[in-house]
Amino acid sequence: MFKKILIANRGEIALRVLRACRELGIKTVAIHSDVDENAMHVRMADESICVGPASAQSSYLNIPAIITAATLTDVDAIHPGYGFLSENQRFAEIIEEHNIKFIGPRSEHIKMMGNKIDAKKIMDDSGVPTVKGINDLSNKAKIDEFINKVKYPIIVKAASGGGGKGMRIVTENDDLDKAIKEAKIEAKKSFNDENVYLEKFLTSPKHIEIQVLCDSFGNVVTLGERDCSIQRKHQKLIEESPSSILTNDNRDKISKLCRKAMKEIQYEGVGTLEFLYENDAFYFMEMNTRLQVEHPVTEMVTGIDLVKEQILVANGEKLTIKQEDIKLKGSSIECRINAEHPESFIPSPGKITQYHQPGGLGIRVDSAVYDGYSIPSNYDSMIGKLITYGATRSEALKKMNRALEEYVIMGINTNIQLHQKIIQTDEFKRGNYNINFMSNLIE
Amino acid sequence: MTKIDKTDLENIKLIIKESKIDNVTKIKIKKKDYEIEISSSNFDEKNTSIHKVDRNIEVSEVENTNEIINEENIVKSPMVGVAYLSADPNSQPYVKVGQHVKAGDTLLLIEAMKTFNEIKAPRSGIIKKIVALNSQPVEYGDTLIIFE
Repeated sequence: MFKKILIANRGEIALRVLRACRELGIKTVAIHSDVDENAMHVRMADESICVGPASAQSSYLNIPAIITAATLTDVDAIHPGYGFLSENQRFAEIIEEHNIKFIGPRSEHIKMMGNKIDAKKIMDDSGVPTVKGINDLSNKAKIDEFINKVKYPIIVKAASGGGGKGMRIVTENDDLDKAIKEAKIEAKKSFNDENVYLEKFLTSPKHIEIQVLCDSFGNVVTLGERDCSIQRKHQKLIEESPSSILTNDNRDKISKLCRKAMKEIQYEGVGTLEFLYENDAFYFMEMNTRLQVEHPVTEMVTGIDLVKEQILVANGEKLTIKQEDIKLKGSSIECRINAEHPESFIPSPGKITQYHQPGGLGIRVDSAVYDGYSIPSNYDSMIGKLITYGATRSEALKKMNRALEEYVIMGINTNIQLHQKIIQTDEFKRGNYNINFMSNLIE
Repeated sequence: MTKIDKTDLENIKLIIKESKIDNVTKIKIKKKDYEIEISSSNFDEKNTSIHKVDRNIEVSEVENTNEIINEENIVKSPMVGVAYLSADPNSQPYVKVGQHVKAGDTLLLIEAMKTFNEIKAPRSGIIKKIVALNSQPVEYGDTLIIFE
């Protein structure tokens, strides 16, 4: 078993990994920037190393400094968390070259899924449904043929894209050539890759994703789905499992296809296949080759500690969980607590002058903040996740309502009020909301 | 006639501290070509310590302290973060001194918590001064831009 793991991250996820390590009897090394000296993940780790100044580029994304820290502290493995270097193929490669285990998939899988066109093709080949699209934009006649077949609206997307950059939605009245040109410029600027492709644009889908867990012996299990349709500007706000609209039959079908695809590419570790879901049909969007922010809702309904499992399979152990043992029990909801104004969304870093987190049966708070902690302005605004669990969705929702009321964070603005507003809408209560929910709510 | 201001007093204090003179007998401030002369009983006339301060640097500070700027003409930072005067390092800055802007025009960006927030002109007018420096941190309430 690993003796010592370096956690190349900060905030709540660094703490989440640290807790899993502690339960597995593994020592931890925290890395931090100079402004994070007093952060909880540093305080709780067995050892800590400052890897650079405040800017993420010079600290949490500073590969040479992180590798040096790993070498100095003599760790067996590095856990990248999510964000930062978690999907950086080069980082995974360098770690492998240093004979340290990267807790995640092999670098080839990060590369494979990093390019959206390639990822879609792989899924297509495995029979996983994808959105109809066209990758070769050099032939005008072929583009016209495609549009005649799928009809407008269509969307232009960047091959290396993410976060809504390099995307253009095109309706009948818009100029397609102009949209492609603009998307190319934006994609080149943002990702240094001007490749774009066209896809049929789904107008009101849900975002539903499937969690996978794979070992190095070819064993693959899926752990149900998460409905992450409550998003603002492509950032998820609320996630839940199971989705209230998915039938068992539909879940089983898509899960089976995901397992087949993972087996075929010999994937290792945890991963998530993201889909759009409209009119009872799934359309593959992309795969995240890492642990997700919203993994706790899956843990709550399956009773499986995903981070521990991730570490165990990275250590070369065989999965002990069988697919037939995985049953989704009850219902879980997660609200992402952000340090931002609930209406204007202006980021609100600063000192927390009073802090009280909710508790009680079925309440889980994954957060690294504490009373008197100063939230730096250099990193993401998510300061914690509030997760509730109930035997039914309605119970989980009631608990969320109560927990949000109980949560006290003073000194900064948070989006707690926004969450209260969202979960009290009829649409959310019914569960049939789609990805347009937030833009409709704000307007 | 120009008044003595805070900067002058600070400069005098600094000169006294740095040159370790005591028993100051006379202080003379000359405003054209900015000169401060300090005499001490411990020095004879020849050793009088004269420090010339670069006038170009001092001018702006004197202006700042003497002139009262109408609050309405100041664009303040709504958040703590890092200011950027252009969309990316290779682009032209959003605004220049002397430029006329319309209400709602982007003046600069502030990066906070991984988001780039556009700071928009609260009203139409001419840019008098850009106080925020490119890629430098700003705090909540810091002056970013001054309108004429």
